[in-house]
Amino acid sequence: MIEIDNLVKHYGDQKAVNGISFTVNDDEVLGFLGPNGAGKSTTMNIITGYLSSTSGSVKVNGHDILEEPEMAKEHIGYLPELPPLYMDMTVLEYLNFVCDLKKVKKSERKEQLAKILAMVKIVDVADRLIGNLSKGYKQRVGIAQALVGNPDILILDEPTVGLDPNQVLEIRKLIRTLAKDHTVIISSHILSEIQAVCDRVVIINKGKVAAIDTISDLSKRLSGSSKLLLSFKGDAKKVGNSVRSIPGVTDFKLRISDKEVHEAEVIVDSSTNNDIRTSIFFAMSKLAAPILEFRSLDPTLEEIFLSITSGK
Amino acid sequence: MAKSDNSSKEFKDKRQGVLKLYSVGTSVILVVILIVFNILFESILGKYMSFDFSLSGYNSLQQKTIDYLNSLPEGTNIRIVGLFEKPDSYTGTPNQYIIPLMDSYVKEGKGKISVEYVDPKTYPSIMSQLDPQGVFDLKSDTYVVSDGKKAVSIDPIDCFTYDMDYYNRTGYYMPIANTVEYTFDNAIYRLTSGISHKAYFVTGLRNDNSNHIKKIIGSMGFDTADIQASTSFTVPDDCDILFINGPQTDIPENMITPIKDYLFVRNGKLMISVDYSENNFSEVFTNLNNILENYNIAVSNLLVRENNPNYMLSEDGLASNVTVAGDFAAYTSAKVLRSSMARSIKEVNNPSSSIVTSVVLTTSADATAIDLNSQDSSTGLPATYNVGMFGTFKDNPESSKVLVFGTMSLTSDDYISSFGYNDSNVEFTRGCIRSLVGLSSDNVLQVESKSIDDYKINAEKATSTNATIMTVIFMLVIPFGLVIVAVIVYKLRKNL
Amino acid sequence: MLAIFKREFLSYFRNPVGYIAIALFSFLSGYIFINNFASGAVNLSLEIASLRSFFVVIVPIITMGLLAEDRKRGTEILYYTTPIDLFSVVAGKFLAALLLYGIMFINVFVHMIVTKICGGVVGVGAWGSVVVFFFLAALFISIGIFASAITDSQIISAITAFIIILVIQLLSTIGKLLGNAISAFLSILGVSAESASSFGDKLESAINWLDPFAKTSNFRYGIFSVAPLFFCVSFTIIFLFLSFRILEKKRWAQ
Repeated sequence: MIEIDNLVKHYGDQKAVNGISFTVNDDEVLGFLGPNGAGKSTTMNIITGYLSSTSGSVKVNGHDILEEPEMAKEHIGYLPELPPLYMDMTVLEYLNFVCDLKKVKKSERKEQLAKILAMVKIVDVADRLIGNLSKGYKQRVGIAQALVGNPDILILDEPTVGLDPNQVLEIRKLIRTLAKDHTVIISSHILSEIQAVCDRVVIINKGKVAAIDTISDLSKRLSGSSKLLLSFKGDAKKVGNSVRSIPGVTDFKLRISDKEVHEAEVIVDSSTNNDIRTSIFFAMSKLAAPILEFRSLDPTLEEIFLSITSGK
Repeated sequence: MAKSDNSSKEFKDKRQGVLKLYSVGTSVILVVILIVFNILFESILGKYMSFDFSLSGYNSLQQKTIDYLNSLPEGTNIRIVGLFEKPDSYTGTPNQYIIPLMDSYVKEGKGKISVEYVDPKTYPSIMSQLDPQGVFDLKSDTYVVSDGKKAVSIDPIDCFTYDMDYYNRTGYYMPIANTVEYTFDNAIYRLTSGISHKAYFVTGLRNDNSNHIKKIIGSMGFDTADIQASTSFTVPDDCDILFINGPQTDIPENMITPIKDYLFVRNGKLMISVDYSENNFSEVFTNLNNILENYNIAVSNLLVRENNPNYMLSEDGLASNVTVAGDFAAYTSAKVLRSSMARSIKEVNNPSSSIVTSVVLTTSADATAIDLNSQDSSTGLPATYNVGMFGTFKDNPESSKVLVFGTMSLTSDDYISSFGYNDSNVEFTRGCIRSLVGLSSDNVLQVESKSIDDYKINAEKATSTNATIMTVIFMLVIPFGLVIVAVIVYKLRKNL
Repeated sequence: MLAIFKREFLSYFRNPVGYIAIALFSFLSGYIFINNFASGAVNLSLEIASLRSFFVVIVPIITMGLLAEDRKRGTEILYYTTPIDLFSVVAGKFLAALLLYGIMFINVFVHMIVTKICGGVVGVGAWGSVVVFFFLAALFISIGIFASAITDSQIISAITAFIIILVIQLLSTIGKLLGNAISAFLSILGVSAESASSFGDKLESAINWLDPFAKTSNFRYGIFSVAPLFFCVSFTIIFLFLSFRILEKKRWAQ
């Protein structure tokens, strides 16, 4: 359990973190969502004891990170944004070193490392030089490093950034496995990433908490309105009127209007249960306006913040 | 909102400020405490927490000196005056080794020796008090040893021998031996012993300097003086031994008669050291040989090259070990002595039943000799060459004696300053002089100079073969082996 | 501390740098020894004294990466986020570098054995020099670590260490020059010659007081004193402590 209370961190005059409070419950997977520069990494660095906060407190399983740092750190496995890997060591040498740092008992070490290697699937690269591994493997070694010492809390800062889609899926799978018996905090600037693995999400922007919610509640809130992108040929005005008249459609905004090809944003009140896309399709075909592209638009983080704040 | 911002700002200042203050504060406190503690420790306990484990005891007098001081008659009053203000701190200066030892002199002298420090700038009268006639050459910043009548001046710089090789390489003086006790003992001995031998050094032959050999024989109770080689050359009446040390030119012809007169009529003693240098390789020493041939000895102009690797000290064989022959072996504890750029000393075919000529130093049987003057400088057949010979007349132990060395490794400043006063070459020189003059070794105060240690290695092992083997091991095998290991490790790990 | 020590020490041998440093030291010490040997007299304390002048090169090589590299590669975060205290990080790295120096020094021990076999003397002066060598090595390594703590660039760290060590080696010369310069400057300003030169002398002796070489010069003769060693240890601790504080600064600095 991590209790974060009114955390503030200044860099000079800049407030990187400005009064963040939330609690992470045991065995929960918490997503930490925010655009780049929102203060995610700073907050995580403070939680793990790397940086000290300007004010506020962090308690890890009841131990204050400033007052009892060693007790608190024992419970945390941390994967920073840049995994702290020594490129000149082999995976096994490196993990043994981390065992030394985290004071893992000699007797438990072999068993624990074998378990971790199997869990993050790096058994076959255990004797290779870290510097020679692919990015995905390096990230796994980073996670393995965080797992050393059996911490009950894992803090992963942007664990999938820079990986190719396959690797992203693999890592997500791994995180889901880990989530079974760990409290996990994952930071990301991508909503889908968080949705994929988290129970609850904390959204921060400009150093402040914008929202704390469960994923399902958040989805509901976000799904209050959704957007579709419609690109078509034909008479834009007619199409607009026709689409607007479909029940459930709240707005139709022409974004680009060429001589022939038009692109429009269709705002849909998705509380209606029927799939609006079918109605739009038929409406368009009635007007003989061919659809060139038709897909739903993912909300940007900014829009999420907007919708969240306006939702309040 | 604005209010809460303000309060958080105040809070920020507090925590960061406390951490900063703590961090900087503890650092400053630690630095200050340690420096203060160091200063206190050094000034209060430093003296007591220093342990003299040196073999010779740098700051303590040797037993020989203590015995000697005890043997001085009651009522002896030796006054040692440092002609400067006693400095508060003398670490890193020659006085570092002198001032503590002076305290030992006072302690062990038991009233016979007093030590004081008087700055002649403040008390100009001290000079005339110590040296009313102005004959002892006293200078400020030196020491004076005085018995009230005579005085001996000692410059701190002269109380050490220096590594000349290091000096030549770096330009810095690296003292290798401390002769403070040696120098002061001898000064006291000179004032109190009453023994006075006189040694004359012939100068003006573009000689090697003789400062160290003078100090050495000074310690044997000799007063030393120079006589200029000139047309009006005479050997003074009080001469007990005459040195021609490292001549670069032959002696003038009109010195032959006075020297012969000194040797044959007055049973004089002559010691010559002459090696093969770039300045004298063409010199044939006709006039010198004119004298020496009376002892069936001649200085040749052949450069000796040692070819036996067990004797060689340098790659070219020009520095080598030489064996001490016959009775002369008793003068040194070493079986072999060092020599370099040696000139061959020959027996001439002028035997006489009244002459005894003996070999003193020889090379191995594999040595060759080179004559750089002849066109054909190829080496001759290997043979044994002599680099030291002795000649005297039969039947009369008091008769004249001549000792000729073809090497400067026994008497030159260069050698002695590099190897120190306790070196076996120097020991041998001392023995030779003693035997020439007929001094028994009992009546000499021989205090060891405190060389850091005697660094000589066994000359039989210090051969060029061994040096080559070690060059290969220490400078090739080990370093390059390591570099190869480095490359292997790098390659192996790179591909892991 | 042991964990850091182990990693850093082994790291010297996982990379060429450790081997190269030892090879360099072997070559230099071998050169000095053989020069001595060929002349027929081996003065080991002189050899060791000469070797001290290579601190200026070897220390930066082995200390430049110790903290700078961690900072640059982000691996330092391990020290902050695991239950290990930062001083033991500094101390562990310090000990690793010191042990590497110890391994280099095996060369000199071999020279000692050879000297002994060849009938030479390994006197108390040589042992005094060995003692001094290690205390000075500790001092200079702590300076190297300090230089490595203040930057994330190995090059800057090496240059900083090089300059500090060089200045210390030239301290007595600098003291003399500075003393003379100050007294000359003061007498230009119209201070009486006597007080000007006495101030210059005082400055000179103050600077000389900091010179670890002058302080320890007596050990070469076998005179062991505690104060100079205490001096070296004190400054070693000071530099290690400062390095520790610099690491810790990251936590609270803005």
